[in-house]
Amino acid sequence: MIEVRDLHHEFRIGKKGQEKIVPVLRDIDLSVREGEIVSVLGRSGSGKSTLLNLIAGYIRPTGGRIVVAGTDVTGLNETQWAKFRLNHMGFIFQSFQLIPSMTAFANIELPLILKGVDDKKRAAYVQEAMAMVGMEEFAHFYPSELSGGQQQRVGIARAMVLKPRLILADEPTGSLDSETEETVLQFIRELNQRHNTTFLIITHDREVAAFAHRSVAIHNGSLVAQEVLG
Amino acid sequence: MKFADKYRFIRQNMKKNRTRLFMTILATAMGCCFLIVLASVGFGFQESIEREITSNGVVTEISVYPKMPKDEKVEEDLSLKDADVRYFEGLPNVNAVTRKNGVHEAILYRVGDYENSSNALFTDFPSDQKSGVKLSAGRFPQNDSEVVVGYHFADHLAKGKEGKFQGELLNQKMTVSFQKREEAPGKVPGKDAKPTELKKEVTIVGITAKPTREWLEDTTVQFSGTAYPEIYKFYWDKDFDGSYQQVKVYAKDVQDVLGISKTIKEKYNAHSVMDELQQLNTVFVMIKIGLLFIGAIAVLIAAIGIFNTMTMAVTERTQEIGIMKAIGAAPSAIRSIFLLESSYIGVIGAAIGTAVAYVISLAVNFFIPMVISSMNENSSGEPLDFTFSSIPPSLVLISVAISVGVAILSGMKPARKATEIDVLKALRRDI
Repeated sequence: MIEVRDLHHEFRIGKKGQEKIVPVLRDIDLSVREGEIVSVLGRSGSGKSTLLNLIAGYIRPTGGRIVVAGTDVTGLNETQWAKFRLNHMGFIFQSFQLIPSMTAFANIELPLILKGVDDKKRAAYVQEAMAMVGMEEFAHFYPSELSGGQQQRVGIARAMVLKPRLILADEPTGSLDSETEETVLQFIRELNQRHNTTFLIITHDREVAAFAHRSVAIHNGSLVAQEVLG
Repeated sequence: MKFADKYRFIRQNMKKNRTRLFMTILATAMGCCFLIVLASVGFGFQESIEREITSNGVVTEISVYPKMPKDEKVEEDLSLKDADVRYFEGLPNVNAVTRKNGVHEAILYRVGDYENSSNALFTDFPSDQKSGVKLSAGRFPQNDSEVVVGYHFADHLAKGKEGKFQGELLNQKMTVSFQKREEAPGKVPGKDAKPTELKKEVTIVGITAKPTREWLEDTTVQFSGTAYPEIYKFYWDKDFDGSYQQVKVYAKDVQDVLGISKTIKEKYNAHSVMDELQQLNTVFVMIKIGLLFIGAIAVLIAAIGIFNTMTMAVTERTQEIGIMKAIGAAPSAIRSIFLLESSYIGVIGAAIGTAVAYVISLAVNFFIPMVISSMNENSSGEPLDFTFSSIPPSLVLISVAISVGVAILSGMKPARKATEIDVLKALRRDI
C-alpha cells in the first residue's frame, strides 16, 4: 500500500543566502502492505511527523520516492494531490481538526461534499459512519459541545466516510485519556477488520505502538528497528 | 465540489459576521447606485434633446439638396428635377419623394371681403399624401383650381381692421392675386408691357394639420404642383425648367434612413434628423463614458471594502481552509468559494444599488421640474418637458457588470491567498 524508498528530507532555516540546512529524515525505506496497521514510534523531534506529512503530501521530500496505492506521489501537483487524497486517503489528527462552525454531521459530510457526492446519498453515508463510531445522537452538536473522545470519534468518522484504503493517523490518541484512548484504538481495529483499511499511525506512546500489527521506530531521522507484533 | 454546496458554504460563512457583510454590501450598493444615477443624467439629457429634435421633424425624412458645383466658372445645371426624383423613388426602402416649389412674394388672397397676404407653395400632392402628410380638415386638391390652406390661415384673414374671419373656410371660393413687385427680377423697367397682376379663382378644399411646435404658424397656401409653370412664367418671364426647390425623401422605416441618406449623399447633399441624431449620439456616448468613468470611481472605493472583507474572511478561516485542504479540497474549490463570496457581495450590492437608483431617478424627475417651475415666475405653469434622469436597461447592465466585475476582481487576491495557505501552518494554529 505504501512504498517509501530512499526518502530523505531537510529543512532550510534562516534568511535567504545564509540558510542552515537541517536534515530531518535520512534514507528511509518503509513498506506497508494493504490491510496492515503499522505504527511509527519515536520521540518528539525524531522526524516521525515529517514522515507522515511527506506521505500525506503536505510537504515535498528533498529526495527519494513515495508510492501510495500504486501511484508515485512524489511528482503530484497541488490539484492532483487534492484528488488523490480524496480518492485514497483518510486523516486522523491529534487535535481532531474539526471545523468549529460546523456540526458533527457537517464535519463528517465535508469529504463527501468535496468529492461532489450527491446530496441524498451523503446523508446515508454520514449516518453509517456516525453509527460506526457510536455518535448518532450527537449529529447536531458543535465540536465545542463535545468531549475530546467524542471529537476524535467524529474525526475518525470523517476519515472513514469515503471508505479510503489508507488512513494516516498522527498521534490519534495524543489528546485523550487512557480510557478513551482504548475506545479510539478499538474503532481503528474494527475499521481495519471490517473494511481491510490500511493504517499508518504515528505515535510516541509505546502502548499505542504495541496495538499495531507491526511497529517501526524512528530515531534522529532514521528508521532504527522494525518489530512485528502480531 | 458542487455549486449548490459552495453556495451553502458561503451562506454559512456570511452568517458569522453580519455587520461586516452588511457594511460591505452597503458600500457596493452605494457605489453602484451612484454610478447609475450619475450616468442616468447623461441618458436623460440625451433623451430630452432627441425628443426635442425628433419633434421638430419627421424622423424618416431626408431633405435633399443639389451638390455645389465643383468649379464655379463652369455652368452646370445641378438643380433637382424629375429625373432625380425618379432616381430617389427607385432607391430601396424609399416610401415617397415629395417636391415643392414656392413663391416667396406677397400674394394677396381674398375670401369674400376678407383678405390675407401670404406665401404660396406648389406641391406634388400625391407624393405628399404618400409620405404620410395629414390634413386637419378636408381633402387634398385634385386639380389646379383647388388649394389647401395652412392651419393658421383663417386667423390672419381679416376685413380691413374690423375683424377676423369667422366661419367655415372649407369649400369657400378664394381669389388669388399674384403680384409682381417693381424690384422683381426679370422685369425691365420702363419697357414693361406684361400684366403686373395674375388673378386666379380657386376653392379651398383642405386645411393642413396643426404644426408640432406651439410657436409655429402655418399661413401658407398650397397649390397643386401642376399650376406652377404658369406662375413661374409670370414671375420670371421664362419657361419653367422643371426644377424643384425642395425635395424630401421619406424612408419606409426609421432604420432605413441612414442607409438611404448615405446613398443619396454620393451624388447630392442630404440632411436628416437621423444624421443629426447620429452626431449627437457620438457626443453623448463620450459624455456617458465620462460619467460612467467618474461613477466607477465610487465602485472602486467600494471594492477596497470588499477586498478588506475578503482578506479578513480568509485570515479568519485559515484553520478551516487548512483542514479542508488537508482532507482533500482542491485549490480551485477553495478559490471558487471565495470568489463566489465576493461576487455574491457584488450581485446583492448591485441589485440593491439598482433598485435605489430607480427610486432616486423617479424622485429627481418628479421634484426637479417642480422646483424649477416654482422658481421661474414667468413660466406658463405647464410642466417642464425635460427628463433629468433616465435609466435604460443597457445602463443597468453596464453598471451591474462593472460592480460585479470589480467585486470579483477585488476578491481575486484574497482568494489566491486562501489557496496558498500552508496546510501544516494552518493545522498547527490551535495546537
